[in-house]
Amino acid sequence: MDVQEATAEGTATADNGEIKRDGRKQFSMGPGDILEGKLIYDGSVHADGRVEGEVRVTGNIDVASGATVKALLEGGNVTLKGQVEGMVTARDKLTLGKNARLSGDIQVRRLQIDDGATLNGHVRMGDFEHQASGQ
Amino acid sequence: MSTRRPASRAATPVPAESGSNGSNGERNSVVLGPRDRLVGQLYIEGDLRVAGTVEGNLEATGDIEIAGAGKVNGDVTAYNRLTVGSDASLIAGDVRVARLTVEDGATFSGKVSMGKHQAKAAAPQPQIVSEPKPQPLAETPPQPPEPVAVQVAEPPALEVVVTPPHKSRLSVSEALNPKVVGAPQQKSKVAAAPPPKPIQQKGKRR
Repeated sequence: MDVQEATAEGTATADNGEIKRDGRKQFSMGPGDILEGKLIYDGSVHADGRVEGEVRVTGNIDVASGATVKALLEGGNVTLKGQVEGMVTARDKLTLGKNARLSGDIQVRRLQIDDGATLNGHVRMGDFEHQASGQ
Repeated sequence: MSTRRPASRAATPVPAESGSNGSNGERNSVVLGPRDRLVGQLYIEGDLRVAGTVEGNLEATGDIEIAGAGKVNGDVTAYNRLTVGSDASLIAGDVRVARLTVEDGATFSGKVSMGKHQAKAAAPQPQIVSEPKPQPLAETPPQPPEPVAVQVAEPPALEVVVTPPHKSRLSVSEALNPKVVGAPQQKSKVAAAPPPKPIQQKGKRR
């Protein structure tokens, strides 16, 4: 009986990836979590573990330092600290942390690359007003 | 452009004109001030700091910094680090750097390729000598006992035909002193081993 209760709690916390913070939803992944497919989310995403596919959010995307992402990412503020392979669109600002490794084309309005980050890809900078409204 | 006046140009410090390339024994550093303008290509063995306007390609063996309100429109290659300041602008086709820092607020676009450029220059350096040594030394010890028995019975001429070139030297010395077979044999092996090495190395490389 004790074991069953423990597993039930485990699945409950896994489903609790959705956390409300400041009235805005946040989808939060842990280091052991895996997301494969397409996620369109009205809120922010904290990505950790492994992500493959496509992630489009109205809020911000935050990729943790230990994460491995092979996906198209689109968000307002996008902060990368881990390893990312794929196209990245930041409607506002893209930040590459010192341990970030990004391989893919990026489209941003503002860009910050910290010393130590690795970037291979094409950078386009400009406003996104027409694209943001087309979501 | 009204900013291009001789008077203002003289007031701007431009080490590129006065400082010779690496004569101090220190790393060369070139600065293009805020009122300086370059149209064309620039290659610097050392560091480059751009606070003015550049239309063309830049290449530096050290760091490149686009600082202040500097604007660069062209390809940029920095063997070490490229820094784009918060008010600076880089509109490039290709950006090839080892390290990259872009401050928030900077204008930056282009195709970025990151990796170490030093790998190309340091590549062709083959390692010499050490590898071939163990092979002849390992092969020789088990083989000598057979020719020793033959040498005593048959004339030296046959030995030269049968055995490999480095062993024929051994057999000649043994044939001259047939009584002392055991002890001097091993000494002569060590002495005879080095000459064939360069021949084998040349054969392998070509």
